[in-house]
Amino acid sequence: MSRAIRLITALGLILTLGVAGVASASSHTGTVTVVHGVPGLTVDVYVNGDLTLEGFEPGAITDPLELEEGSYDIEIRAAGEPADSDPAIAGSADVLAGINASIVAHLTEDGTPSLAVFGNDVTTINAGETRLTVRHAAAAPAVDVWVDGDVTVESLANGSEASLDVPAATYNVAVSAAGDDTPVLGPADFDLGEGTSYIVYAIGSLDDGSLDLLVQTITGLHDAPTAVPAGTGSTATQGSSLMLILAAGLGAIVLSGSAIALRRQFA
Amino acid sequence: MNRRYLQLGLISGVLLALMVQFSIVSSETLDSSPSGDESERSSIATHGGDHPTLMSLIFSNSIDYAFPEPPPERSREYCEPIPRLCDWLAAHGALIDPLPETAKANGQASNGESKSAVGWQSASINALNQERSATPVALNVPSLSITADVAGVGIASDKSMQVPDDYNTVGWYRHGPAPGENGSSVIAGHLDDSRGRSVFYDLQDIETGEVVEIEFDDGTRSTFKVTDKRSYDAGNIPADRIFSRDGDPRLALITCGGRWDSSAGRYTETVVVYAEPV
Repeated sequence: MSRAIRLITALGLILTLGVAGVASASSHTGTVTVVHGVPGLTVDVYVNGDLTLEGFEPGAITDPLELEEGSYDIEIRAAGEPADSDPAIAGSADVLAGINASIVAHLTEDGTPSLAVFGNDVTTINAGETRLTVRHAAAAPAVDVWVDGDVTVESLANGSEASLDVPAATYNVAVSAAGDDTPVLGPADFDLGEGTSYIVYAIGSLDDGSLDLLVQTITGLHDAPTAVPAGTGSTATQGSSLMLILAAGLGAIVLSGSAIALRRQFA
Repeated sequence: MNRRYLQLGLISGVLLALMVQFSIVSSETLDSSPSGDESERSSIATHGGDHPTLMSLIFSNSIDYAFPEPPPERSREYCEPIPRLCDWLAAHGALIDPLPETAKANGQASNGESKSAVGWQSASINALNQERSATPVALNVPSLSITADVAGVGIASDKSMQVPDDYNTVGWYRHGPAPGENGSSVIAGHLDDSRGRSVFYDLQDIETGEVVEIEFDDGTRSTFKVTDKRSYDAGNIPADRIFSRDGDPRLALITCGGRWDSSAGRYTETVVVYAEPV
């Protein structure tokens, strides 16, 4: 209930979200994924006045949506509220052709519901590697992200992100308040598969004890090995040296044979 | 302008006259046949009947046209994966529950948008660690008397595929599909190593139709049949094809071929044997 009141305090908040990204020349659509990172309230999401996501639950993520380029008005209401009622969160997103972006309903550092837009890196990942991105979308101060016991991302603030490509493996991940070594999330092991981008969102509120991690995955970014070196040439070189030994042996036999013959002649 | 209408009228008049004449001629030929009720016959003839007259050809389109049956009623679950199908079924009144009640209450009944338009699921990070499928542990090629252990391998520092040095072990590219999964599962073995001949020394002698057996860590086995054998320039292999993660399940067995290029430190060719599940 307190969450509902909070949402209503954000009433009329209008954001204009320019979605930055690398535009591809061929297509006229952009890819948009919507993430619900405001705990405690199921919502209806309206896009350009149409109810597009009904009963969208906290912690949920949409399939990637292919949207024609252009400006989209987004309105978020508590589930079941009339379509003509004032929205709890409203904003607009400019979708550019070729972009891949995530629109995240989340809490700002002071706990105000808001929308944030992040551009997703969908460039090819080197063969054998995985891409880990962390996004701070929680009502909490800046955090440190620990990977395998070391601070890998330092002092990440609300609304910002950090990304790194690492060998595909299982990693132990934890989140602490910046400069602190007590985890507020995790530690937990995550198996990060090759050629996949894992975008981890820290959501919820530190004060409410509702901090949580959500993950968005983008698959199919893999690359292939460049070659398959499956020989050392040992049989090839061994073959030719064998021929050399044989030839030398033959030569020796011929030489010694003729020497014997010569000796016999002179004897 | 008027002149053009006149021309059009004239042409259609002539056509009509020709058609009428043609049908009379055909009815006459029918009438001359020995049996049957004459009046009925002539009426059939005027409409074309079963005789292939010009009239019947013209009318057949409209007479024989049958409207398709309305689609059977379906629940929304049936079409949920394809939103357009939902829209189409709804437009033909064939959706048992065209739109959820709440959407109707919000005045959304008339447009196709509803929660089914956009799919969504939980983004819980706990769903990340999925169960792995069975991995290959042994490979047999009976026709070549090859028996090898299979080890999972990844990428070497030079971005090539790792290949085990052990002379009786082949490497399965663990980042790609396992044998039998969709896509191309890659298993590579050495042609030779520091001790001489290695596990796949004879691989290039394999023939189409011969069998490759794979054993998995869960005790199951699967059998593949060789479909093709190719030799590529070692510096320019079709990596996207060989390491593809889409399409029907297939196997790619790889070793070296050609001659040893001592300056490049590798064989000149890469031999790939393609196989498909039996």
